[in-house]
Amino acid sequence: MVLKEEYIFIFVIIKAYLTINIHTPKELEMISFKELELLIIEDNLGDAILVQEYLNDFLNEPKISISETSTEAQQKLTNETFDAIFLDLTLPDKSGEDLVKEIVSLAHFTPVIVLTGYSNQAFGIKALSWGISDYLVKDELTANQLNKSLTYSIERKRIEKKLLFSNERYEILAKATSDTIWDWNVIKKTVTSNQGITRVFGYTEADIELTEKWWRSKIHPDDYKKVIGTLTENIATATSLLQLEYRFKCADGSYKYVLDRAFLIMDMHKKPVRMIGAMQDITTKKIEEERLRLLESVITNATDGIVITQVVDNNINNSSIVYVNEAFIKLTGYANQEILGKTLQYLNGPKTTDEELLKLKNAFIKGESCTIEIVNYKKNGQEFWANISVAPVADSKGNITHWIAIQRDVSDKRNYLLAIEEQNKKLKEIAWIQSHVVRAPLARIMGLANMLIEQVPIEEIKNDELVESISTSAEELDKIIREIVYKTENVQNQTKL
Amino acid sequence: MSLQLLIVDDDTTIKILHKAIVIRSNLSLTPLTFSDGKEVLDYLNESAKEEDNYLILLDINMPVMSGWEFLKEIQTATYANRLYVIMVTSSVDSGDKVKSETFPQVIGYFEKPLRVDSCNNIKLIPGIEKYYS
Repeated sequence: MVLKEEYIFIFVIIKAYLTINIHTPKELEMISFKELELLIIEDNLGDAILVQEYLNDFLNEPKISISETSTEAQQKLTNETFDAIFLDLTLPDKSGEDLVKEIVSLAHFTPVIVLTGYSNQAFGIKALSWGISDYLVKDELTANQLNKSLTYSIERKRIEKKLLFSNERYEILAKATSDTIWDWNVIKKTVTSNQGITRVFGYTEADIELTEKWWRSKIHPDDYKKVIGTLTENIATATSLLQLEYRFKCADGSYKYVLDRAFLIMDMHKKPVRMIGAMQDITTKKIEEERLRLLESVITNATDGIVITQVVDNNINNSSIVYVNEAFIKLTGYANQEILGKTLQYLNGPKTTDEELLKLKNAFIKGESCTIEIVNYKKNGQEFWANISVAPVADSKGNITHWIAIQRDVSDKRNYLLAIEEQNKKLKEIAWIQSHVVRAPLARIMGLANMLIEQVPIEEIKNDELVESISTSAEELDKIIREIVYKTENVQNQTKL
Repeated sequence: MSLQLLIVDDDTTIKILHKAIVIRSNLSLTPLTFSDGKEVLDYLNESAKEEDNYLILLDINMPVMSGWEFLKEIQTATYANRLYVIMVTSSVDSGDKVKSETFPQVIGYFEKPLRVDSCNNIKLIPGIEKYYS
C-alpha cells in the first residue's frame, strides 16, 4: 500500500518534469524523415504533383499515396497508417468543415495539413480548433515552407500523443489514489486538485476556490505557522522535497490529519514556480497512534508493576520477560537489563508457596488468566507479598504469544489483614470471657430483684444482707465492664503498631 | 419413694435465692445446698439411699469440681440412674447446652436466676412430673 502511494507520488513528480520539458529543441533535431509515408488527398492532379515534387526535394524516398475523393481517402486511412496527410478543402464528394472533421477523426495521431486554394484566415483558425496541424495556401506554397510545416506538424503530433498518454495515465492514477493531489501555481497563486478534495474532505465543486488563499484558509490555525514556516524555508533554501503533517479542514468544519508530500519546481533562476503535492488522509492512523500512546502511558505510569513475557519456542511454560514498566523496577529494585530475558519465577524464593506457583503453572498450561498471592523477593533480598494477575495475549490465529503479569505489593494489606485477624481473635476472647463473668453478678441482681417482685419470704437472709449483695454485685459488674474497656483498648493499640 | 432436691452453686447469694425460690414454688420444701461438685458427690456417695431419687440443680463453673467433672464422675455410680440433673448456669453459651445433652441424667437447662415459673416448668419435665402430680 505504501509502495503504491510512493509510486503515485513519484509519478506526479515525473509528470511535473515532463510538462515543463516539452519544448526541448534537441528533440526536434533527432527526428529522422527517412521513408516517410504520406497521403495527399487532392482531386486536382496538378496540385498533387506539385506537392509531390516539393516533398521529393527534401525527403529521402518518401512513399506517397494520392486519393482524389473523400471516400477513397477514408478507405486508405482505415487500412493503412501514414506519417502525415495533406488535405485539399474541396473534393468532389465532400468539402469544408465536414471534410476536415471526417479526415481528422480518421487520422488519429497523424498530423493533417490543410492545403487551400484561397487565403481564408478565419476558416484556417477554425480548422486548427478541429484538430488540423497546419493551414497552407497553395498559391504561396514553397518547398521550404512545406518542409517546415511537415517537420513541425509531425513532431508536434508525436509530443501531443505522448503527452496525451501521459495525461491519461495521470488522470487514471489521480482517480485511483485516495490521496488528494494538488498543483499550486506559485506565480499566479492558483491551486488545482483532483477529486480527493471532494471525496476526502467533503467539499462540493461549488465550495472549492482555485486560489492559494482558499487552500491556506483550510490549514488548522495551530498548524498554520508550522506549515507556512516550513514552506517558506523550503523555498528559501531551494529544497525541492517537502513532507509535512498537519490538520486540514473538512467541509463540515472538522479537521483531518494529513501527511502532505510535495515537490517544489523552480525555474532556472531557482525561483519557485510551481509545487505539486499529494495529501494523504492519516486521521485513522493518527487517532490509533494517539490511542496507543494513551494506552502506553497507562502502562508506563501505572503504579502496579507490569511485566510482559514472550513465549519462547512455542512452549507455553517457557516465557521470558521482554518488558517491565517503571513501577516494576521501583518495586523490585532490578534494572531493565538485569530482568529482561528472565522468567517470572526469577523473583521467587524460600518462602514462595509451591501451591500458589502450581496454580500459576496450570494457568500457563491451560492458557487461562489467573491471580495468585505469593511471597516474592526484591533484588536486595527483602521479601514482599505480591498479588500477581496474569493474562494471556493471543495472536490473530489464537496462539498465545505473550503473557501480561500485573504485580502489586500487597504486603501492607496482607500484614494488616493478619493483624486484624489477630485482633478479632483477641476481641472475641474478651467478649467470650467477660460475658461469662458478667453473667454471674447479673444473675444475682436479677434473682434478688425477682425475689422483691415475687415477695418471697427469705428466712435465712436479713434485709440488709440482701441490699449488701445487690451493692456488691453492682460493684463487681462495674469492675468487669471497666476491665472490658481496658482490655479492648489494649488490643486496638497493639494492632495499630 | 421421694425426690430429694440438691442445689449446687458456689455463689452464696444464688444458693440462698434458689433455695427460697424452690421452697416458694413448692419444687421442694427441704432443699439441700452444696458449694461445688465435690461436696455433692461426697454427699451422694455417703448418703444416697436405695429408695431415694435426687433432683440436682447443677451450676457449671465452680471451683474444686465443676459441673462437667461432676457429671463425668457419676456415670459409673450405682445411683446414676436415680439422678435427675437440671443445669442451672450463668453461661449464655449455646455450646454448653448441647454438651449437657450428651449426659443421660440431664433433663433440663436453665439460665440463672431461677424464677417461680422456671420451677413450675421443671415440675412438668417428663421423668419427674410424677412426683408433682
